[in-house]
Amino acid sequence: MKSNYQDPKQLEQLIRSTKADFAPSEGLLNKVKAALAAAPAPASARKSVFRQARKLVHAFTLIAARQPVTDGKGHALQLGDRLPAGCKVMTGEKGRVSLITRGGSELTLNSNSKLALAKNGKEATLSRGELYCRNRAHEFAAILTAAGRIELLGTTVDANMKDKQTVAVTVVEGKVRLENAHGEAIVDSGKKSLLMAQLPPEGGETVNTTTETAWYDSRESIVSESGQIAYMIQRDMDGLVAEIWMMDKDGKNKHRLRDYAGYGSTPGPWLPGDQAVVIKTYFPIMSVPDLKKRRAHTNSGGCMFEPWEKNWLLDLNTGQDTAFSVPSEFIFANRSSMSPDATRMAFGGGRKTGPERKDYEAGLWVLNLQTHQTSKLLEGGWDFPRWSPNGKTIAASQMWSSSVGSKLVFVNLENGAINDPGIRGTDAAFSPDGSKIAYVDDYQGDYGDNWHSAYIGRVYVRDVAAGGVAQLVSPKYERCRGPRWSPDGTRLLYTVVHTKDLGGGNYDQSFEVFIAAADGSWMKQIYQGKGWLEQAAWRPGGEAIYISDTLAGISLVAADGSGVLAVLGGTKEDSTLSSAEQKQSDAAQAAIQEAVFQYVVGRIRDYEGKFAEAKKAYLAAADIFAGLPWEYPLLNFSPNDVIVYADKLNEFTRRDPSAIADDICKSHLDQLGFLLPWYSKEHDLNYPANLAALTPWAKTKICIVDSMWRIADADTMAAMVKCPEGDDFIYTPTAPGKRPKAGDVILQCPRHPEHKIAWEENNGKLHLNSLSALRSISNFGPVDEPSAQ
Amino acid sequence: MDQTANRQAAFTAALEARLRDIYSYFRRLGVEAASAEDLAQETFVLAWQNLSSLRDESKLKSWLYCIAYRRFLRYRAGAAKQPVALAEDHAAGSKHDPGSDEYLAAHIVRQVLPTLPEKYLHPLLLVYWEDLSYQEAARVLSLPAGTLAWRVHRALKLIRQALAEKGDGYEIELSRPKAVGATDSLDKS
Repeated sequence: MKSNYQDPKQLEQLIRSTKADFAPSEGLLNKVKAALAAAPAPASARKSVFRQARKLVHAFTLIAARQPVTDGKGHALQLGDRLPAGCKVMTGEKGRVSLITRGGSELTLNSNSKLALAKNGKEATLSRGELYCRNRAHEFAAILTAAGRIELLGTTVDANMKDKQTVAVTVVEGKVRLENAHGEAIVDSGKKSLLMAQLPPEGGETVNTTTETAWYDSRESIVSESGQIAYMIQRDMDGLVAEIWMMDKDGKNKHRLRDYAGYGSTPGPWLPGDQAVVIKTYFPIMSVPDLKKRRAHTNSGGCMFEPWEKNWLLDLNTGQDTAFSVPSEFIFANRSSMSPDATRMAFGGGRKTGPERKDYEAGLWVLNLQTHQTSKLLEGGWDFPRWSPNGKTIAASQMWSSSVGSKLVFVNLENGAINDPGIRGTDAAFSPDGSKIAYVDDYQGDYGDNWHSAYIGRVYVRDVAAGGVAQLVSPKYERCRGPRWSPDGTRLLYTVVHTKDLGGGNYDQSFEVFIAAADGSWMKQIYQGKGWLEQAAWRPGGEAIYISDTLAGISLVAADGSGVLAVLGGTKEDSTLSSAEQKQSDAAQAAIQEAVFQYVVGRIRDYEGKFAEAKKAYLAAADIFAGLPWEYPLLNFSPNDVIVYADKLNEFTRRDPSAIADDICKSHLDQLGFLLPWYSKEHDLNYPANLAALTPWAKTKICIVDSMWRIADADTMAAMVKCPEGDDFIYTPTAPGKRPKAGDVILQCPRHPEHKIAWEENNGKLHLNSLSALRSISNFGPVDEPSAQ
Repeated sequence: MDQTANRQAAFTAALEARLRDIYSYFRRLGVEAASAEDLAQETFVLAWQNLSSLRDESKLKSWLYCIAYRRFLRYRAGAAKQPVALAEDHAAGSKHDPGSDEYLAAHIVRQVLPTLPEKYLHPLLLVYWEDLSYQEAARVLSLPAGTLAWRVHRALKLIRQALAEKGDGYEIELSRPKAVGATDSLDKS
């Protein structure tokens, strides 16, 4: 061709010339006019828009659906639909639907169910099927059924219509009043016990209640009895959205169950009957890449979100998750583990006590999930609580410290006796019959690489009752972790993880999986993999092992060392999101990032004594969190999860300013008490002449190598040297070259005279006391002798 | 005249003037005659019923196209999400002499259009086939005007590229143009 159509005008003309023209049939104009005459007038259309808007005051949003789901008129309902109050929802054979209100309450209908929502938005009539109702802030008053009225007293409840006369009511949380022509009864419940109440059929006498005792297998496993596998995918390694997925034992039928804001860990263990699986999620604090760029870096200790770790029971039938949470006075709880009968939870943690909750106590705790009582078993910082199979003994390891390492002790729950066999060990596991314990001794070599060293070591097996000499089962390796017993108790599985630091925050990860005889007579490497090892768990039969890592997903490996039997997948690569889901996923990640950023800003403003600004930031973060389940319906965020965050952040904004000031004052003093000995160590045991002289030095200190977490920058240092109420701390430096005496006060707040940092003697060593007590139980170990990195 | 009467007058005028345009719009997007008539009728009925939500009569044209565009999307979704198969138009070709460069070029354009990604195709067609201004087309597609202009520009670039690639030594195939699908090579460039 002569022309290449570079001239826009020419090209435009060419395209216009390709336009076709069509003439409608002659009668169309009249037909349309007739249709217009028959249609309602425009003025009334406007009114109906208003009526619609008013109805939506009590709107429900459809956040999860498996078709068929229809409204009362047979129209299919889609994700994200707004349903007005007064409408009906029906599910078919395979259908299931979750509705959520703006207030955060949730209604989930199982298959073959029919529900009518009352016009006032307060009641729902269940005419068949099963309804799960999570009631927030008394939003719903009652569920009506043919068998009677279920009045909700601020509660979470599951109502299952057995037939027209009978409805099984499971009170998940709170209590309900059951009422029908034959009588009434109040059904109370512990947080997680399965309590069933049956409304009496006609002519029945009383409402009877029975309690089902849950059975629970404490072995950690990703696979259920019937062979289903639950796994977690972190689409972004920064961990902003954790997705819980499920697959069949052959790797087929992969589907996503729930999303959580933050990190998650490998799901497991399963509850009996394959109905529910325990999962843990964590606050996504470390995942905001631009914290530093946006000047939000701060001291690492100041950014801990409480609750940092959350435990969920994810019901696979209803898709509902229930938190089995630690009471709110606990400011942290670690590595919780559920008892074999699923009634109690053990965890290492610390809580505020005293009349004004100003004191702090750390320990090993047991939380009764039915009565919500916590009892303290041991004082101090404890980690890795593990239950014996009969639920009568807990093995726990002390938080690692340079003087004692990690001491492994046994606590008898029946008489409270503490058995301290004098061994150093962590990450322990009872054998299936409870007679032996496997553990790793804390690694004796180089502690420098990372704090994980505290639970890496050689694997030993020891008789629990008789004591005696421990048997070494990992002769060649010193850096093993996670021993797990085979179901028959004759073999152990453990892993060795190799980390190569490539610099710049990048690591090359690989791992090996070993099997050894419990008597130490042989050991064998059965698998070598790349990537981060998530979990290695025995298949219930003991003939194979599921290995889950970030690169290959889940692999089934023969226990006899004959190699990989099947690669089941389950990585982010084989679970692609549709473009709409991807869009929401990206948007949600950005939103979570923003929320976390606002939270960090809030903490820093608190730290600097600017409480009004902090409040604003917390509210902004709370709004974002509370909006997640509605704004990204395709992701199926767990509303319970995000509401925990929103609630907590709202709680922050309601705190009494003087109480915050008190807390922050302590935290400033603690931070200074941490920096001063460190400074003196680097300056020939000389202390700075005044606190301002500390700033130029502290600015150069970074808490973790390659991270954005600084000890302090100029602004935080300026805030740190005084009480948030404005008074400068009284600083009495130790004279140069002199050794301080126990009891010498080095720092004191003039506004809060009881806040003082003084020298204390412990095991012949002098160190500064800590007001929050957090320092001595942090994951980083006690900082009696701070070391610069 | 009050506002409601104003709007109704504008609507009545638009009905006479635009019915053929709207009908043709559907036809040009490959909807067959009977369905196109139904869609055009629905478009006007919907417009009439929601006339009160139209705040500015001068935007009536883009508003009608907006309704029509959404009706088209919904119609297609009902038909199991068929790709856009633009109407074949032999009459249009006759605007140029057979054998002339323009004839060949027009043929290439008609072949390329249905292979464009839809996000470029709809802006292009609204501007060049339906004679909407950039602002009007942007309102129809609910896009910022800048985005729309950029997409039209992008569409033109893709067409120009196709003309350059196929223009030399090209033999006219009388087969049906391919439906949207194999657009990778164009999209990536």
